[in-house]
Amino acid sequence: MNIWSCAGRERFLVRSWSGEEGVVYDKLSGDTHLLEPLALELLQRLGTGAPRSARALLDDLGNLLEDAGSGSALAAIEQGLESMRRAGLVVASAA
Amino acid sequence: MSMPAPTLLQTALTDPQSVRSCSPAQWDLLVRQARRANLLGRLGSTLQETGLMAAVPGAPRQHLVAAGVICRRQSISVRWEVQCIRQALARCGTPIVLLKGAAYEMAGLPPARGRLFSDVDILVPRALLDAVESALMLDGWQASDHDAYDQHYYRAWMHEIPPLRHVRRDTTIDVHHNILPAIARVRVDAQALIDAAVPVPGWDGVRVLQPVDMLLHSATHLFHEGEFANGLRDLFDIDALLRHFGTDARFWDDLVPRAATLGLGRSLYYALHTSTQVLGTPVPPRVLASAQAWRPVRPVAALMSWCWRHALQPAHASAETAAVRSARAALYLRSHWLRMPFPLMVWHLGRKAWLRTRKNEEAAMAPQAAEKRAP
Amino acid sequence: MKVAQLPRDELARRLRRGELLLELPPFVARLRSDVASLARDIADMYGEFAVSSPEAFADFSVEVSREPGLRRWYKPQARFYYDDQPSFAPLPAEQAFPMIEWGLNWCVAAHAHQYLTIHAAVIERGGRAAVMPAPPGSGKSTLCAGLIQRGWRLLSDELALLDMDTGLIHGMARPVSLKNASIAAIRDFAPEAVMTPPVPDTVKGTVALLQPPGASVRRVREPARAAWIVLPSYERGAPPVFSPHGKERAFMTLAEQSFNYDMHGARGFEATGRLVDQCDCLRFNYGGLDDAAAAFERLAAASPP
Repeated sequence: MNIWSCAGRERFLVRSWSGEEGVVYDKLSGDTHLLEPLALELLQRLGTGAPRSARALLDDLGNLLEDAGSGSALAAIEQGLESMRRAGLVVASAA
Repeated sequence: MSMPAPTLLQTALTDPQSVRSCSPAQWDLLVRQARRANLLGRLGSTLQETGLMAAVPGAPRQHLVAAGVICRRQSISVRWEVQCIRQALARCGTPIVLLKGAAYEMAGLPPARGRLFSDVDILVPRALLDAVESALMLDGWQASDHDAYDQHYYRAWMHEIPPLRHVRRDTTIDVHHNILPAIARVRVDAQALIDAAVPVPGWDGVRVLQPVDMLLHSATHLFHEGEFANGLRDLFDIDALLRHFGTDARFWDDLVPRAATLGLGRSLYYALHTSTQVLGTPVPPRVLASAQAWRPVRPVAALMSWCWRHALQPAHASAETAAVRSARAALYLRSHWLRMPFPLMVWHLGRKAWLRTRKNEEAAMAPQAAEKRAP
Repeated sequence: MKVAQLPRDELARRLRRGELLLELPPFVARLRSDVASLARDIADMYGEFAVSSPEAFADFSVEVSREPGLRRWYKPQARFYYDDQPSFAPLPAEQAFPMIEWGLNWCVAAHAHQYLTIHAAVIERGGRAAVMPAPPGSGKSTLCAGLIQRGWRLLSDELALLDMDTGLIHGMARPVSLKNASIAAIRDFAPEAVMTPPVPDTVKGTVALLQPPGASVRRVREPARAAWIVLPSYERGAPPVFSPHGKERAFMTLAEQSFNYDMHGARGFEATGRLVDQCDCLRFNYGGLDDAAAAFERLAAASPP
């Protein structure tokens, strides 16, 4: 199981106007990313809280997600985390 | 045989106060020379450091500001690139020795200031070349578009594998296993360079050449070179390294003996001779005297000195006389002679000429490409 | 002294000798050319622009020169040079003026990193500017060309220069580039507008340059504060509609359409964010210039000053 954490505390600049999507600047790589609502939420939670698993994040997000109980919510979170990992925003370590 | 007069660019860099008396037309020429010689960033940082930026008129100053923007961005890019390379090669169990620009940046050396970087160059043991290449390709680097001849040229004859390009970041890495080609007339003990490499503080697994080796590499690179787009810039690098390392007496003690051990004495002679003559680099007389041992016989020495002084003029039309063109042509041939045996050289040059003609024809037929992205 | 005040033969002479320094605030360009028609096009399109002394500082030294050899006489070609270096492949000599225009755009996009430069049209009314970033083919140049005939000041049809310290946008008020069907569309919309003769068979199709309004050129040194970011999209016959565009999406469009956003790092991110902060971000669908002009009229009137 993977434990996820933000790739750096002071590393990212985030702007969001709608509160749903967000744009992120990575000071280390110089990259800019557009985050869709779930990814933005995940990044913000990992940015402020402790490293945790996808399941723990699911519990955290709880009623913010439709079908929170179903497998598809967990799958969506894992997908979101994986694409953020490829973009260098979050890192995974084995528990 | 007369030596070329110092250009506006050379004067501005060696005597920054002189820019106070530049007319608008001179600033116009200075900015253009500096840009073409890849020294606009350095001019900006030199004027910044000497407190002269405020004395630069508004219009030329914007060009220095703009060059500074590029340099700062590239500094971030290089650092990130080194981080990515380090991660990719972590499994290979070899320290990575950075060369040239990336080394100056990571070690915080003066040639990094105001520099425009291009590729990252690394030096690895020859035995680990395949492992390193595989690890890089696993991480997203790909061989550039080189035909079978070029692949063979690089692998069999040069001291590096063909440049690899990263698919996502669009950056290039040059992996060297020596600082001179395998078939060159001078054989360098690359392992000795790797063994003496020093760590970069805070960057586990990343090294740079020790000071004397870094200087010798820079000298060897320039004085074996056949193409001079960055010639003057490279000479300023040598000057900056000598001034920076030269504050430590041990550097001067070690320099000549190390050059002897590595077989790079001739390049050191040219570097010291040219740098002191053209840029007034302070070098202890005893070191200059020792390096004289590698001076070629008198007529050759005079001819070579003439060649270097002309070839290292800024690569701008305003500085390009017939003498400069001849000098560069002669040194171009020399660089290939140094790199490979004669029959191979003729074959290689002939092929290169043919390819260049073909590329020109193809470019002439291609529609105009509007360049949207700034370089 | 303005270009219009230079006797034509003096203009041609300076151009041949590379002594024509054209002020394109905030820049100055040195022009050289041996293509005879270029003097006429410069006189027609840049009449209101000032010239500097040949001894002045020029930001860009550009040249359009005829190719040597046989091509000098048979289907003559010309090539663009930046500071004596050939750039781009040679093109038919009739395309010399579009070549200079594209070449100057390239100079600014490639070098002017004192600004955040964006591939966008910028027009201004009542002290507020509309920035229209868009990929090629969105119809922004046509829309821009139309609106400046209806009371909007032209800052630029191609190059928005954002000063990241002041947050103001500068433009050069240079000729507007029109292609293919847009040429006829603008002729119909504004028969009095002055254009170069159409130049056929360029890489972009048939191209004509539209003279910038004199009033816009006279105010070229006045930057503007952006109030709207508008993404236009043309659809024949469609009614004109403004709809909200997510600010994050508008941000990404600005970044993607910028020539040097990436170069500026965190500073570019923050400056683009501030630009988005201060603007209404809108999409604009339209199908005709009359409708579009009326819609923009209402936009300018409705928003609070």
